[in-house]
Amino acid sequence: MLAIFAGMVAMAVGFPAEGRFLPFVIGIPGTVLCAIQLAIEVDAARRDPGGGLSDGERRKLRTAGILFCWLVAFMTAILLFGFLYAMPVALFAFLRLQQREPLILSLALSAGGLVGMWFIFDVMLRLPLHGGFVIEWLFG
Amino acid sequence: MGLDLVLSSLIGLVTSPTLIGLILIAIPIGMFFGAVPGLGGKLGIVLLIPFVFGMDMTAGAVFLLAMHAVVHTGGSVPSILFGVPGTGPDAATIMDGFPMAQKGEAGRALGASLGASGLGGVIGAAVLAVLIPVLAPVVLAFSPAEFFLLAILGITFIASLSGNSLIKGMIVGAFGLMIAFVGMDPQTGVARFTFGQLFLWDGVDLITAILAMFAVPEMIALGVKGGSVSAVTRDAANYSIRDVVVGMGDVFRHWWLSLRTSIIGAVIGMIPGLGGDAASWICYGHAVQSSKTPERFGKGAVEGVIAPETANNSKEGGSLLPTLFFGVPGSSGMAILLGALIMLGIQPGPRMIVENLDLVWTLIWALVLANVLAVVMFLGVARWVGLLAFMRGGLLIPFVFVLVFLGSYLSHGAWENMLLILLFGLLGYGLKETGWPRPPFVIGLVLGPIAEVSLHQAMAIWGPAFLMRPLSLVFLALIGGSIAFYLWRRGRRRSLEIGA
Repeated sequence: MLAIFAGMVAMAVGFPAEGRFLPFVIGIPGTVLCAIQLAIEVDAARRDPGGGLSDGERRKLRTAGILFCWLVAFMTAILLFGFLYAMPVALFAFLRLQQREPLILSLALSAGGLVGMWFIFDVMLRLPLHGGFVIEWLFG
Repeated sequence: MGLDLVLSSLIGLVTSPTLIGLILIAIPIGMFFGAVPGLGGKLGIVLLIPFVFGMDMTAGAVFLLAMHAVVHTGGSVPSILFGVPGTGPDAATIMDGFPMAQKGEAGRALGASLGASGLGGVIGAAVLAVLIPVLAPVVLAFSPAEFFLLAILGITFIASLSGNSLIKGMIVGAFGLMIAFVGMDPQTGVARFTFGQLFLWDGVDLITAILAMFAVPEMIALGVKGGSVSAVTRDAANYSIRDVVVGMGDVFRHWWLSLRTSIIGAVIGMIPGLGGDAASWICYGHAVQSSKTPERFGKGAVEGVIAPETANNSKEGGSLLPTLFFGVPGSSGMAILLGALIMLGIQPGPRMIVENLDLVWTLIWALVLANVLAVVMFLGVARWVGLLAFMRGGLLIPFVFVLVFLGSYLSHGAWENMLLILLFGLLGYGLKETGWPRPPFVIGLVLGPIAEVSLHQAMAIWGPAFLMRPLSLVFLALIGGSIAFYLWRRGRRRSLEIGA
């Protein structure tokens, strides 16, 4: 947070006076507050050094990391192949590989998700969904 | 304000198959988000955002409000049956609801909760309706100076009341404000913090930021926790409809308490930042204090269910007041609803009272209808609602991921927003896991542009002397007071901890 605030304040230096006024009014106190919070946390860590991460915490962090990788995979698949193609595949992959759900349930939920999305967004609401870079490149 | 407008809004609502249909769809969705522990109304609004794109603004607003209004009606179910609060504000219901279930009075407790939720919701909407004519001249007297200070007040309220650390709340609120400055500066036309990216010229998309900061961290946390949402046995979910009806009668047997706690809840809802937790606990405390037999509380007193449940639903009506007329959200849930309303093309603020009063009345009637219909619908599905708590979280995660990207893409049609989902999602999870409050970020992001434009206008009209205007001084005193109150409360809590 300290780095973000300091970076934004530093960038605001280059703006015209009126444009940098509020970023300074908010950003400079924000930077100071971040520095105070950092000092509080460093002080607390010094008083109670602890023993690093426990096994449970490490496992939790690892699972969170895996789930975040899945989020990246979902996004990549959607960007490349579009919502309608990427969604059922990504759903199926997650349910089968990550959650280890039975094949039939995974297939049914993925197909249900696809039909639901197609019906609500394409048929009912007629909203344009991202087509996917690869699909657009292949089929125009 | 004419009676014809009030009635025409009601007639317009009940004779519109679309609006009634949307309310009927919104109610089970809201109850679902309330009944599944860990989801809640905020996530409900966030996830429904993709579905309201392209909707008429009234339809979209009615749909989201009706869903949000009944979240706590469903939220009392796991609190009573399993001692697991569906949402934070439902925790007070556990105090007497769960002991009632353990004594074999689960149906009666659920009925009391249901009747109290319905009545509280209706009274909350009535309080809002009564206050509109009183409030109109006050709201219309506001100038840019007051709006700037009101925005700052909104930020300090939320920051000081949404976590254990004032500094953390203020930092996150300030971060939201800084992100609100991304895009073209309204005064100079200079692109700020855009890194040369065209999609950032209009600023960081509010919906993308909300989806990333709330939905992504909740789903990752759900995945990390694993298993089903509730870890208790299914035996507790057995009760009859007859018991539920008896419980509903309790609400009217204790009508004076129901009325008092509904009004207290609505008033608390009006104070930005106090939130549902405060409403339900204050009303629970009031029920204990005002009882002739306070020793029964905590052991299964039905009044201990009625008080927090009336407050939970009535505060929604109250919190609509600052949200709609001042653009300052009454709670973190309302902050997200505010963002969704802006996305629908509704500009909350004092002009609502002049230009969109018909919409305001439609929303008030929607609130009333949703609360009444929720009671009827709940009676029909009462036996199955409790089973929602056993749903496996892992099945929800991939669908929510898709909805997050869908909502982000649809809000601006910019694929780059999906990259922001990753960035803010990571940040949101970090904040959640380290105990930093996230609602101040949304408040800052929503109020930032209002604060900036109002400040420039106030400076252009009065210069720095705008801070010395009488109403400005009142707001400055309120800002100081809210921070002083927080510090006093924190000091008191610490001294109590030391004493214990």
